[in-house]
Formats: sequence, C-alpha cells, structure tokens
Amino acid sequence: MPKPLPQLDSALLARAQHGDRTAHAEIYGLFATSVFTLARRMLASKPLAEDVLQDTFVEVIRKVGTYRGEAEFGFWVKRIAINKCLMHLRSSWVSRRDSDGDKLVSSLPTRAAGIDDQIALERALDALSDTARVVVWLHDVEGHTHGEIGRMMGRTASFSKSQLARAHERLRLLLGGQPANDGPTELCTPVLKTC
Amino acid sequence: MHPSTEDLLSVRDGEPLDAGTSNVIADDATLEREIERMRQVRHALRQLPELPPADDMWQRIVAVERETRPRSNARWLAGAGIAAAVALLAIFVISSPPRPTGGIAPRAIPAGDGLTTRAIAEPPSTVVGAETSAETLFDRDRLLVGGRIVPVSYPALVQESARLDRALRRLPYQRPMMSAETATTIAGLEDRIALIDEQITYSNARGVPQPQRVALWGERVDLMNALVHVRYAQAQP
Repeated sequence: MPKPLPQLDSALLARAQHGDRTAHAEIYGLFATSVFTLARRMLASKPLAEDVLQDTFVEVIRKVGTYRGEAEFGFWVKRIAINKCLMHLRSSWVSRRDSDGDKLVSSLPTRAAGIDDQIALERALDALSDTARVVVWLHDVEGHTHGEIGRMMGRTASFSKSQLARAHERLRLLLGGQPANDGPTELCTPVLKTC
Repeated sequence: MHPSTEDLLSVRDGEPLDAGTSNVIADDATLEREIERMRQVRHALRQLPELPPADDMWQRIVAVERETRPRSNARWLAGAGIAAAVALLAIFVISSPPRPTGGIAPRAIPAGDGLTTRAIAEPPSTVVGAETSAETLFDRDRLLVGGRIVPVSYPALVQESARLDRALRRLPYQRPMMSAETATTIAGLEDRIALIDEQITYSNARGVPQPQRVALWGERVDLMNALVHVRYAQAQP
C-alpha cells in the first residue's frame, strides 16, 4: 500500500479556510515533503519539482476555502500536484525528452550489482521515458488504478497498462535483470513480448 | 503463446486474467519468479526515501502568492507603465490570427522589438545565441524570430521551438520578484503554449494534417519567443 498521508484536523482546516497564514504554513509542513517527493519522482528534475511544489501550495492557499471534504485532504493536495506535474509533461520539450528517454540506457551501468539498490533504482526510474515513469509511480507507489491514471492523462486504462508493462520491462533491463532484493539472478527473457 | 508483461503485472496486482493464461503462468516457475521480481521492484519503489524540499521554499511560496494576488488600483496604476510594455508584446502575439493551414503565411516578429528596448540590457536574441537584427521579414517560406531567419518547415520550427525552450530554461529564476501584471502576462503566454502543446501532443492521434501541425509549431515559436522576451525583461535587475 502507498505511504499513508498525514491527517488534517478540522480546527487547522477551519483556520486555513479563514486565511490564517500560520495554518497555511502548518499545512505546508504536513504535506510539502510528500508533494515534493511525488513531483521529483514524476518529473525527474529538482527545479521542475520545486516549481510544482510552489504552484501546488499557491493553489492550495487560494482554494482551501473551496475544499469540502469530498476526498481526504492529502489526496486533494496530491491531486493538485499531479495535475501540475502532468501540465509540465505536456510541454513539448519534455515530450521530446520523453522520446529520447530510452537513449539514456547506454549511459547507465548495465547491471545494478555493486551499487546500492536504492541508488540504482532511482537512476533507473529517472532513465525511464516520462510517460512510463509517471505511470509506474502513480500506479505502483501512489496506488492509483489504471482507469484513474488513464483519465488523468487524457488516455485510456489500456494505455496506462501498456505503459506500466513498458516501465517494468525497462526497469528490468536498467537493473541488469536482477531483482531489486536478493533472489534469483537469471534473466527471464520469455516474458518479453518479442520472444 | 507466452504471457505478456501486462499479464504478469495483472497477476501481481490481483486483476482478473483469462483461465488459459493463468494456467500457463501457474505452471511455469520462471514466470512465477518474474512476478515475484516485479513485486520486489514495487516494494523497493515504495521504500525509496522521501525527498524534503529546500528550507526556503515556504518563504518563496508566500512571496509568490502575495506578489501574484490581485492588487488595489493604486498599486496597479503605479506599475502600469512597466506592465503596459510587457502587455503590448503579449497582445501583439496572442491577438494575431493563426496561420492559414494550407499555404503558410508566416507572421513577422521584429527582432529588436520596442517592447523591451529599455528594459533589456542585452537583447533576447543574443541571449539565445543568435545575431540581432531590426529587420522585419514577410515571406511565405521564412520567419524572422528574434533576428533569426527560420524556414517555415516542420523540422525547422520544431528545432527553433526547442532552441527557445533551452533559452527559457537558461533564464534565471525570478518569479518571487515579478509584478502581478508581469505574472499575469507570463501566465497567459504559458497557458497559450500549454494549449498548443496539448494540440501538438495529440495531433498524431487526431490525424491533424501536416500543414496544420506546421502552423501549430509556428504559433508555438511565436509564443515562446514572446515568453523569452518577457522573462528576459523581467529578469533584468
């Protein structure tokens, strides 16, 4: 399951909805790290993630008065952040980077052996195409369904499924075909669609 | 037929799968190991450390929120002189009619436009690595952007657009210091660019004819050029 989000107590929410700047700062303190992590993982760029963090909380401050509790507050904040990330990814320079994403493979170590697993995994994640990275993060970490991801991206659930499969195929190659933790080391080539 | 990666992920995620494929997977230890490997990758992704933002981010957010908040008439009037110059360029670009989709009649963009003459110590065309020229070009096959002559062709426009993107990214981050009017102008340009980007992104899927795609890229180049000018002017001390 994805990491649980902090709970927001109703008194703090009420203060924030009345424009209390201290309450806004407290909300920022509760959710900033999860929003920044989400943006950094989705965009693979610290400056872009900072832009998203900034834009997200400017919007949270301005729209907190309209929050009616239909979804958990943390999900509401994260949904704003995800939309901001997707807006960044729609810009064409990012789209071009997307198409070039696979080329990064050659500049990465072919096997994760000898490198700290988390660093190797972070590198591999960053090396995925933008779309594949977004889908794998939203599905495997944030827990969104393929239907939700498809709608957020203006596509279909099938699109999300195929991108997730592509992401895992790439991750396997980028991680040298080895499991992230201890386990069998042989490559499992028969699962490739091309076999 | 071997199960696909999508099939294996469906098993991992507990999604329904047809009986035939399920049986093939259940009978194959290699595929079972692959599913387990995918579970481990998912687990490892969830265990990646959280990344805290920079310490000054909240101050930046507060400053931006304050600076971009609607202002009183008095403050608006005080900044009107500067804002008018910035807005002129945006109006020039945004209000221009789109190119016809058949024969492309490119709109000329003056290189050393009057908009930023006072504010810019160094013209944007120099910033983005091009020669400066005050000439104006009207031509069916070429477009003058910031002193550069760009052929009106799909690859040339895509390349020019990428060059302007790079130029924009090189400009210093100054958002907390900008006026509300400048922020509004920039936001308007960015919104227009986002709209164009969306159309470009889905142009293949929607079967948009090539001339229209060229026109979209041409409009993007215009808007990006305007944005680079405004951002450059805004970044001046």
